[in-house]
Amino acid sequence: MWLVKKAQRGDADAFVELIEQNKQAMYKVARSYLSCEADIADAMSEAVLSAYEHLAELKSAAYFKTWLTRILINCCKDILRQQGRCTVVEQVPEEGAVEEMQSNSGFTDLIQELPKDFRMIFVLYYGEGFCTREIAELLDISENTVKSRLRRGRMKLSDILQHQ
Amino acid sequence: MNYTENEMKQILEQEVEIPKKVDERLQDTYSRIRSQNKTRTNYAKKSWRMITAAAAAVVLTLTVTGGTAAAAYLSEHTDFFQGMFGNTTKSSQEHTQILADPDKEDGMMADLPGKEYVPVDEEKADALIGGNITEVNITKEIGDHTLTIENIVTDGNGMLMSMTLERQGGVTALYADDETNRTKGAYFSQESNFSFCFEDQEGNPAGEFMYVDTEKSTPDKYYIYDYMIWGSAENTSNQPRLHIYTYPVTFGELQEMNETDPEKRNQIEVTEDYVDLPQCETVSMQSLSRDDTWICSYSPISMNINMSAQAPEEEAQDPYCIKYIELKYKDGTSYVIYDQDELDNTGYICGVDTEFRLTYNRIVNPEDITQILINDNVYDVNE
Repeated sequence: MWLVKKAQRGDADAFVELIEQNKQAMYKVARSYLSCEADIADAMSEAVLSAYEHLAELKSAAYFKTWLTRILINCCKDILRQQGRCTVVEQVPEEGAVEEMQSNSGFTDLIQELPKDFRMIFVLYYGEGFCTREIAELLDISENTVKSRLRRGRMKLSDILQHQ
Repeated sequence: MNYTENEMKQILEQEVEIPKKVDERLQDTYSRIRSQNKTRTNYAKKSWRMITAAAAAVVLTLTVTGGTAAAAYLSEHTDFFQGMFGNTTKSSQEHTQILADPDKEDGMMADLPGKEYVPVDEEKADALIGGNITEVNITKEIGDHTLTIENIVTDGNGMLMSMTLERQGGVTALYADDETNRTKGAYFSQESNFSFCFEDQEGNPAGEFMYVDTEKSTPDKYYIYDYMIWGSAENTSNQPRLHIYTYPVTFGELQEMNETDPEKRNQIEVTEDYVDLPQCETVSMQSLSRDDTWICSYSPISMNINMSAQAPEEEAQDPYCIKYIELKYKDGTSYVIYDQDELDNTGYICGVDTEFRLTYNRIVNPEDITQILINDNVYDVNE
């Protein structure tokens, strides 16, 4: 947490270190919304700049990751909104992107197989260890919705995989 | 192919390779942030230089005009008086409400009381406490920081102290900004491996609020104005001492150890060091009683209120029973010291047993007071 405090005092290197520590999580979150590399890069870059700009407003250093994730989710939604797309999946990835993603095959396979409405919840719950209450706050939905989507997501995933 | 819960967890937790394009973009973003930061730092340094230059110009103007007009009173304790009681580098603030937890949109709101700072009449301040100010000028090296205690004044109930903390390359031991000045005062940072407090000769520490003058301070030198309340119920503390705690690791590391390896944390040894400060001549306090019940004591710098006289016994240890304190002066003006949740014109407040102790954020002439208002009770004084 001292890194957050240091960054809040204007230490740019400390802030960069914080982002580096959260880079993996950020990428996974952005990837579950967006499949085009350029969009993911845009969203992450926007989120990092916005977080730096508003860092002084973060009252509790312990919430840094939650706060950053929320900013990133908003950036992803903005990109989708600007492009007139409601959701991600149907978009065809760029050629280069497919090659890059192949090195993350386990992750991307699972992401592609997950029903789109449940993708983000799965990444936050299983991948990033957020609890259902935190996910509810991050996605502006009720905790019960998170729980039911987790349950239904598992069932749908199982259905899809059985029919393959 | 099917996934178990564990497999899903493993896959989603696994480290992924960030595509080159995304990573390059992030590196560009970092460069932008670093250059933005550089510009800000340069601007801040420039601002300080400008302030210094402006201050020099003001001094020059005063010197020149002083030769032709009546010279303004200039105390030898100007810095102490302005820092402790004045408004030259402090701005009054309105009462506001903030989100207790800003990460939750529907979180609870918390009150941030307003603060009012007023000009200080240095001549009056000198007459009231000038003779009781102890010029300490003790310098202590603590790691790569240098602490200099400059002036102290105490009335046995509260203590006011000015000091500086310096470090070449920037003070890192103390976390301070306009927000800490508004809320809980400066505190030792996670990077620091030392802390200090002031205590009486029996080791009873004083509660404190460290105000760091952000206008006057530079990154390398913090000007600190410390408002303290003695923690002992006895009003006899006139020889404070500095108590320094030094650890072989930083507070951040200690905290991490607490969470990950408590056993290792318990093996960390703290080195303690004491510096006796000079004996101070205390400012006298006046006492107000009604029907053999002590109501409060007050001096030019602090006040001590008997909560038992304001609330039933079972509530008298709870500082929340004190909701309002005001001093009314002979000239018709008044000083609202405290209006729970709305206004906090104290330097520091502390509940000690059934006493509600506070230091003011301005100088008070006890002889000018005609009424003391505590909650709904009005006490006439100096009749």
